[in-house]
Amino acid sequence: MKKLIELDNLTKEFDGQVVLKGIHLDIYENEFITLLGPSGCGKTTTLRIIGGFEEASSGEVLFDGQDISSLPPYKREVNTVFQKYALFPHLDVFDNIAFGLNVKKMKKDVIHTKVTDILELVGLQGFEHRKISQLSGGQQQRVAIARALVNEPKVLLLDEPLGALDLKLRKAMQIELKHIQKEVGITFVYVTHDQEEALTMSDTIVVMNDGMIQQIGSPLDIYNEPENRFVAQFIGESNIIEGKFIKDLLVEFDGQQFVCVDKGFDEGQDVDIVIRPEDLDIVEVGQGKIEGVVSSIIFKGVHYEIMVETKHRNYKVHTTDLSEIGKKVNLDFWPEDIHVMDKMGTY
Amino acid sequence: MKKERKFPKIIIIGLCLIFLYFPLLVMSVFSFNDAKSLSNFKGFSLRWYESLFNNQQLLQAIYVSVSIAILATIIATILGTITAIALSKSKRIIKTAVIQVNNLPIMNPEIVTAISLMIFFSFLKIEKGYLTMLLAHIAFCTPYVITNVYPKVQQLDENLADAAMDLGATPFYTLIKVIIPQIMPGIRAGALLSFTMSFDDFIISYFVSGNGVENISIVVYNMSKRMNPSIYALSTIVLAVIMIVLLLGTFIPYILLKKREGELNEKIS
Amino acid sequence: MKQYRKLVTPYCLWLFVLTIIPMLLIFFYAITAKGTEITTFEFTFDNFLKFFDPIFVSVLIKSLILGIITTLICFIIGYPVAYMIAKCKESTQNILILLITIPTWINLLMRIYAWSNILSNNGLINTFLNYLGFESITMMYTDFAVVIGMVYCFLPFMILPIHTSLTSMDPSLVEASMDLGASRVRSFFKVTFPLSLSGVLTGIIMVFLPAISEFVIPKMLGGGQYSLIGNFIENQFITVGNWHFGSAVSMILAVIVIVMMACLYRIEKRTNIADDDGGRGNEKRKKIS
Repeated sequence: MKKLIELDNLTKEFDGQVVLKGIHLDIYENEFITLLGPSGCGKTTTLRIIGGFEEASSGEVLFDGQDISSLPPYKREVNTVFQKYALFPHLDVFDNIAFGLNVKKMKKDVIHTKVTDILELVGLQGFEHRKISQLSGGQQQRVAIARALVNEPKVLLLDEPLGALDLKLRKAMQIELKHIQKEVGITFVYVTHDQEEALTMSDTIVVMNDGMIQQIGSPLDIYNEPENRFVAQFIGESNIIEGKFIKDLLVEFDGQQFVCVDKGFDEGQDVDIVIRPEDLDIVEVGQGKIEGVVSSIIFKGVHYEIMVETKHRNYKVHTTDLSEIGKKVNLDFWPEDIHVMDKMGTY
Repeated sequence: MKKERKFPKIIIIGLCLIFLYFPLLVMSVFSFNDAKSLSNFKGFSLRWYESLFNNQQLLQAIYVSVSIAILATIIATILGTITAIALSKSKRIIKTAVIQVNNLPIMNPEIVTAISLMIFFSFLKIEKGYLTMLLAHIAFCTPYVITNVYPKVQQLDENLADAAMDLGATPFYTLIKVIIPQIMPGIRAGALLSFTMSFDDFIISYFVSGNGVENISIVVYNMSKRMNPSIYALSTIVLAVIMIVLLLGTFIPYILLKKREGELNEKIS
Repeated sequence: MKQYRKLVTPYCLWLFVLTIIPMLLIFFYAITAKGTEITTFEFTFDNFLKFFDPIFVSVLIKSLILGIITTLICFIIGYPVAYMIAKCKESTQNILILLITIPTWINLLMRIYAWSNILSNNGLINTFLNYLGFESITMMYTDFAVVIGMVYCFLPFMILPIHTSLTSMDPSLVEASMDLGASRVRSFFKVTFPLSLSGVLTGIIMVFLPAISEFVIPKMLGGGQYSLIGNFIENQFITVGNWHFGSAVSMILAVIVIVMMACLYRIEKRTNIADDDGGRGNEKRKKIS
C-alpha cells in the first residue's frame, strides 16, 4: 500500500497549553484509520491539522510526499465531514452537495449527474430539494458525507460524525460508512471516542491520550495485545494487575507464579498484566488458579458480570454461567489469556 | 382572569394612538387644503403638491436626502458588515477596543457628535458640503450596522466557514456564498436602520453641511417660522410611502422596529 | 475564519479619524482659548469656570427639569399603554406595536412642524376653542409646548421596552401570586411591576438622555429665546462663535450623559437578572409540557 499522508512530529499549543506532543503517523491509501481516545486527547486537533483548519506549532504534514503544512484548507485534496455536519442552512440538499463542484465551476449537467449519483450512494434519492431543517439527523449525516465525497477527495476526514445519532441509527450507519468506504475506495480518517465504533469499522486504530499516540494497530492487535494500561482500560473491559516479569514465559502476581506466552521483558521487571473479564472462568474450589468469593452479580443481557473478591483484589468476570453471591469459587484462565505490558508512570 | 373588562384597555390604547397620529392626520388633511390656512379647511385641492414639485429648494433637498441616505447606507452596511465579521475573529483586546470606540457615537448626545465632526472638518479646512455630510452620515450609521450584524456573526456556526473552505471555497467565496447569506437578517436590519436614521437626520447634517447643501430636515427647520403647506404635502407623501412599503411587506418593518428598539437598548451596553 | 482578521483595519482607521480625532478636538478646544493653530493656542481652564455663571447654571437646571418632567409624563402614559397592549392577543399586539412605531419613522422636524401649527395662536386648537366660544390660549413658545413636543417624540421609546419586558415575563408568576392569595392589584405591585423594572429603566434612558440634549424641539416649539443645553451649545457655535466654550459645554454634556448611562445600565443589569430567571423558567416550563 502507498503512503498517502505522513504526520511528522506534530505538536500543537493553544495559549500555552500543549495539546499535541509529537505525533508521528503514516496514513495509507484505501485505509480506514480511526483516531480513538477520550475527549481532550488531541484526536480532533490532529484531524483539523490534516484538514488545514489549524496550523501545527511545529512538525510537518506530508501529502503524497509533499509538505502541505502551510496550505489553506481550500487547496487541499481532503474533505471533511464535520461533527455537527455544518450543512449550510440557507441552501437545500442539492446545493449543499453541489457546493464544492460549483466552486470548481463545473458544468451544470456534470454537477447534476454527480449529485444524483452520490445521493443514490448515500440512499437519499428524491431529497434534492429538501431544506436542511426538514431532514432528520441521520439524513443530515448522509448529506454531509455526500457533500464531502462528491468532490472525490483522496482522503475523507470524519470528526465524530455519528455522535449526534441514537444508538440504533449509529450502528446502522457504522456498517453503511464502512460499505461506502469500500465502494469509493478512498482513505477514511475517522475520529471517535467510542471504542466499539472504532473496533467495528477500522482497518487501523490509533489510540491517543494526552496528546500522544499510545498504540497503532489493527482492531485485533489493539484488543488482544494492548501495549499499556491505558489502552487496555480504554478498549474493552479489563482486570489490570501489577506484577513482576520473572523470565520469558513466566510472570508473578497475586503472590503466585503463572505460565504465560510473553517474552522479551527484562527479568525481574515490574509490569502490568491484563486479563480480560471474558477470559476468566469461574470454577469449583480446587479446580482453578486463584481462590475467591463471589461478591456481586449483575445481569448484562448477553452475559453476567460477576465480581469475585480474592485475597489481593476484585476480579471482574464475564460469563454466561450464573453463580451465587457468597459462594467460594476458583478463577481459572489459560496462559495466553495473560497479557504482559510495560508499566506506565501515570496510569 | 377572563373577567377583565375590555373597556379601559380600548380607551387607554385608543387615546395614546390618537395622540400619536393626530399631528400626522392634521398634516395629511391640510395638505389637501385649498387655502394657505392650517386651521380652516377651505376645500380640497392639490395646489400644495403642485407647489412642492415646483419648489426647486425642496426638490433639491429631497435629492440630497435620498442620495445621501442611499450612499451612506450602502457604504455603512458594507463597512459595518466586514468589520463585524473581522471583529469576531480578532484578538480580545482589539475587539473590546473597537466595540468601545464604536459605541461612542451611539452613546454620545447627537449634538456632541455633530459639533465634534464640524470642528474636525473645519480644522482640516475641508469645505462643508455634500461630501462632509456624506462622511458624517457614514460615521454615525456604521456603528448601528455593526451592533446589528455582530451578534449574528457570533451566533454563526464556525464550522460552516471551515466546511466551505474544506470544499474548496476561497475565503472571499466563503464570505459571499456562506457567511453573508447566514447573517443577512442582521445586515438587512442594519441597513434599514441606517437608511431611516440618515434620511431623518437633522442635527448632524445641520452642523456639517454648508454652501447651500441642504437635506429635507434642514429645509423644514429653516421654514419653520413661515407657514408652508408644501411641507405637509411632502410629509404626507413620506407617510404614504411608508404605508405602501408596510402593506407590501407586513413583516419586514416589524422586524425593523424590533431591531430599532434593540438598537436603542444597545445604546446602554 | 482567521483569514478575515485583517479586515478590521479599515474601520479601525475610520474610527480613529472620524471618531477619536474629532472627540480629541473637542477636548483640545475646551482647554484652550483663542487661536487654534499649534503656534498660537494657549491653555486655559476658564471655559470650565464659566459653568458657574448663573446663566449657564439656570440653563443646565432647566434642561434637567424639563428632561425629568418629560420622562415622568412618558412613564405615566407609557406604562399603562404598554401594560394594556401586553394584555392583548399576540396578533393584536404586533399590530399595535407597529402602530406605535410608525410615527418615529417620519421626520422629527415634520412632526414638530405639525405641532407648531396645531398649537399656534391661530392654530387648530385655538380655532376650535374660538368656535366653541372660548378665548384663545397662548400655547406656542411656552414650556407646555416644548413638553408636549418632547413627550410626543419620545413616548414610543418608553412604551416599547416596557412592553418587551412585560411580554417576556413568565405569566405563571402572576398566577402563582394569585394562587398564594394576593389580589390582582397586589400581584401587580408585588410581582409584575418589579419584574418590568428593567424595561422601565431602558425606557427612562431612552427618553431622559435624548430629552436633556434635545435642541430642535425647544427651538421650534419654544422659540428663539428658549434655551436648553443643546440650544446653548448651538448658540456658542453658530451665533456667538465661541467654539472653545461650546466645546467645554459639549464635553460636560457628553460626560453627564455617558456617566448616567453607565449608572442606569448597571442598575438595569441588576434588575435584568431577575428577568433572566423568569425567561429561563419559561423555557423550562415549555420543555416539561
